[in-house]
Amino acid sequence: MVEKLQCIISLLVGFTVFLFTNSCSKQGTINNFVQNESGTTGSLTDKPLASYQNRLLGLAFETAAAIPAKPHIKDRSRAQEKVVSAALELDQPLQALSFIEKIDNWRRGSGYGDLALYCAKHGFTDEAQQYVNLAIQVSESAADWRRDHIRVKIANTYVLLGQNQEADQHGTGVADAERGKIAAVKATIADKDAFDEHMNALEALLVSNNYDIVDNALQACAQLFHRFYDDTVRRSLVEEKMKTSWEKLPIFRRVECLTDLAGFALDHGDQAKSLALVNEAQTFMDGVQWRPEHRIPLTSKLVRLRFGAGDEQKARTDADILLALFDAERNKMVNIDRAGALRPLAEAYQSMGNMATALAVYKRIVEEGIENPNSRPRAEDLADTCISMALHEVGPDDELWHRIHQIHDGLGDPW
Amino acid sequence: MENITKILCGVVVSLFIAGTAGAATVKVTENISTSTTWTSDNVYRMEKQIFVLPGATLTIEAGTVIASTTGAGGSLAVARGAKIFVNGTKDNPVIMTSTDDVATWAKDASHPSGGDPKTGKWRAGANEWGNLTIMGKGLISASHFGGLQVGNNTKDPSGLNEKQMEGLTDPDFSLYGGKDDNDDSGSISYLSLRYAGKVVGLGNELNGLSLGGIGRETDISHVEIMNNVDDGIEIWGGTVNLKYISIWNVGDDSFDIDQGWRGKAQFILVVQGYSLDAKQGSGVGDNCFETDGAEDSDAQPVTTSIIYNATVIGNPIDGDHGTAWRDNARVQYRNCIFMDLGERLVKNDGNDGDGANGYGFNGTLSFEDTWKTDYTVTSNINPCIGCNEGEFNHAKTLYTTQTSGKLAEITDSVFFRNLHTDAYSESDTVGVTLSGGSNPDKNNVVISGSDSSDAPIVSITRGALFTSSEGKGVLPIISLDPLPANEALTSAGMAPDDGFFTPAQYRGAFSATDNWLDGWTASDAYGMTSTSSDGCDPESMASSTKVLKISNGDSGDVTVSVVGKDACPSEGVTVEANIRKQHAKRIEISPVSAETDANGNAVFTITGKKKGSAKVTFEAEDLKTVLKVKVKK
Repeated sequence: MVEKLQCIISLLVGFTVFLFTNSCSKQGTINNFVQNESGTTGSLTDKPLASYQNRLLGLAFETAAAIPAKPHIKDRSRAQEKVVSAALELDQPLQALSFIEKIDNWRRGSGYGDLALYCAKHGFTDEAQQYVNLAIQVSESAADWRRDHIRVKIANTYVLLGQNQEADQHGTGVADAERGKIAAVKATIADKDAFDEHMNALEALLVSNNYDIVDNALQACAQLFHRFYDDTVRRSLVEEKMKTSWEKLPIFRRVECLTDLAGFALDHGDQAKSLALVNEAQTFMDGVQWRPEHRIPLTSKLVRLRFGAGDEQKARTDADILLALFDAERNKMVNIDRAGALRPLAEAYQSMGNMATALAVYKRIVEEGIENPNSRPRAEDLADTCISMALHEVGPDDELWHRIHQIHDGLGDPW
Repeated sequence: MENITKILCGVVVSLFIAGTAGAATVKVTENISTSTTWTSDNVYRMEKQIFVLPGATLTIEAGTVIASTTGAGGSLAVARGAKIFVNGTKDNPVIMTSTDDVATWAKDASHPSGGDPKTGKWRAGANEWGNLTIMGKGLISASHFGGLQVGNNTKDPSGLNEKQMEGLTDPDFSLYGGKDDNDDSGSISYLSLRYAGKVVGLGNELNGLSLGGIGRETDISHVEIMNNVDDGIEIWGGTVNLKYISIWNVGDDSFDIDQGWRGKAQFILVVQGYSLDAKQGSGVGDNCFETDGAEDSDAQPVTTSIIYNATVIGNPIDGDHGTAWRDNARVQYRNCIFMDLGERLVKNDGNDGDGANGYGFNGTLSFEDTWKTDYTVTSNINPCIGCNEGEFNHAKTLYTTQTSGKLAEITDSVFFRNLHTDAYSESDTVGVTLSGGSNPDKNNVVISGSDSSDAPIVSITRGALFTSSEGKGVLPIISLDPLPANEALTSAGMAPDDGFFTPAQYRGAFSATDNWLDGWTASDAYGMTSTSSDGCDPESMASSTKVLKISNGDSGDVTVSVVGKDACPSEGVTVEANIRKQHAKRIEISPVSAETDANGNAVFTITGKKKGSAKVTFEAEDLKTVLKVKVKK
């Protein structure tokens, strides 16, 4: 009787705590992220996802996890972490969590950091706190730059939670290379009145003449560009600041910066601006001699944006030129680099609505991925390809499914 | 089946018994395109330059001997995109050497046909086989060589620069460099490289260990180079970190840096001597550290690195400099010992002789200013090549290893018996020493006496004077106890606890209790280093609990302690955790491998996944302990 009473009391206490924590879980965050996206106070859930995407994600993780921990723990964990990122991008936090818990090295902490950040962005305060605590736990035993890699995610989560003291605490001592990433997250939530303050802070970073600081500060600027897009004066100010600061960066980073800006312009429905930025990036591309494994992926991203910006004919032509370039240069590329070179091109074809070609290119990618006789690079390529198809909504046909499974099932010695 | 055929095509298993413990000899005659494990029950003999090709992994088990036929030119190169795992242990290192070296290993009851790798005899010799070269995708600065542009390489850190590795003969797989400073070429632990440096078909020589564009996710610790014909270790660009390195009797520079290395190193032993009767640079030791910044001098990235706890013992007769500086290099040396140097402690060598232009070129910092300039201060001087509009390089591009102090410095170090008339002339100029004496502002101590009792190490015994045909004199070290003494026993500061460095409050590469050369090096096997005061060899291992009870989904920590004689804590021992295969669904463990800390402890976190029991075996060297885990609902 006493035991039953204790049990009922325990249940009541538990229920009360549950109600309390749920009611509190959305408090304390800053305005932009005060509620989860559905506006409810429900717990963290995976959003509906096409079954083929779910299947691709699962297969990507299985493939990554098939890489033996000995001696490939670093490669395996890196490949697993990529699937975690993809799952979060597809709003599958619970699936991401199940993946994270299977990572066996410091990247588990990095995964918890990403999940915490996701929760903070979507208003799940308690969960963000829970996962940030796990990230902290792992970061404490992580070595050197790996520790900073996790701590930046911790600091960024606290930024989104509005806990600036904790953000500073975890951001302090982080290598210069990583600090700008915290500024980038701050920029995403910049209050309109705080624009000048953010710009001043970023300007200080931009004049540092340190590559990593400048690089990360430029990412923060890109976020400001996005956040203040409708304010033409401020947006132009940010863009100008970026372009006068990036002379310290290699060409490929400038191209990537312009790609980011062009993407943001498209997000705001500004095709003309996006196209101007894409053309600017293309000019940089044309001015440098690239190896095909660099040129094809970088230009493929521009093709995708160009199409979105309305220059459809040139986009299609450029894509076909890149495919021809791949064929012409294929044998000059090391076989482990080929699938990675083609993947962004398949994504570009998908974004142009040319699903048949996208699927055909994915089929080639899958085959290029097994040119190397070893299962580690095969698994890495297959996982990356599954992620790419899941993220870009390309469902394999029966033939491709069969081939993917065949390759997956065939993974084994030699790794 | 196809793969197995390929593997068998690559090796020829000889029918005779090799010299080491009855092991079979496996001749390696083809490149490694499929991942392969070399096992300790064989001796591997490379007959030519063998490449591990992109995508392939070469794993070498603890205790494996790779003894290439002397003079045949066998060599191992790991191409960009390939990986190597050298899994040696303190008791069972991996040894890469020549057949002539193996011939000196003792025969005994355990090794009836000869070949106890814990024995052997030092000989004057090198150039007997190739080397170990690893190539990665880290950033390099190799825009110019010999005054000419290298391919399409640029002076800015474009991430597109790549270069052919010197001494390698295959043009398809000899390139290094890229844009991934986090690149992972695998890991190396407890590797002894001996009597190496030979190149087939070329006029130049190979370093003991060559690292081109190696990224920071590559792990390297406990590597020895004994008797190489050229440099001991040479690093071109990249960000790789190194720990516990012994370089002894190499024929050129002991530790050579080029093309923008931006890594860290700690616990480095350099012992100068000679490997061959040949000219200085190809048999007789040259500089102890030779640090080149970039090729050309104003290119990016430029070498910007930090080295803690080096013990550097020069050749006082005809050795060259303790630290030679070229081409805009920025290096911080802290908590070091420099003794018995042949020439200068600090030498501005200007340029590398390969057409680079030295300090101050094109407006870069002068040598003197580099020593006065805070690590945060940068240069914006550099021309733009290969881009459409003005592009500038700056001094701090891509650099994260230095976190305090000046761009170039030698601090908190001790100098002993450096008797050359100019030993301290340039170190005075840059403020390392003051009028040839100590500089308290830098916590640098010049020991005034020259008696052995004043030395910063316990003992050193040199052999008879060797004079090379070129006329260079060498006093070879035949016995060394490198543990600290006198001014080296403690230091003012120590390395930061940043996850890579070990905070060690002493000067030089050794603590007062641990001669980490013991057990795995040629110097130990040949009887050249004292093990009398060795620290704490692992003798037993235990976990904090025999049974761990956790709920499904929960985690619990287990501390594994490794101790030696009189329960001393064994530091730096790798403990591996293995879950019994059939129990793998019930629990997870993280990490799967960990190194013991100063208290001899390694901590593992175990998470319950499914109700039931599981067994975890922790193993370290020859020790093991078993933990039972009960996972509740």
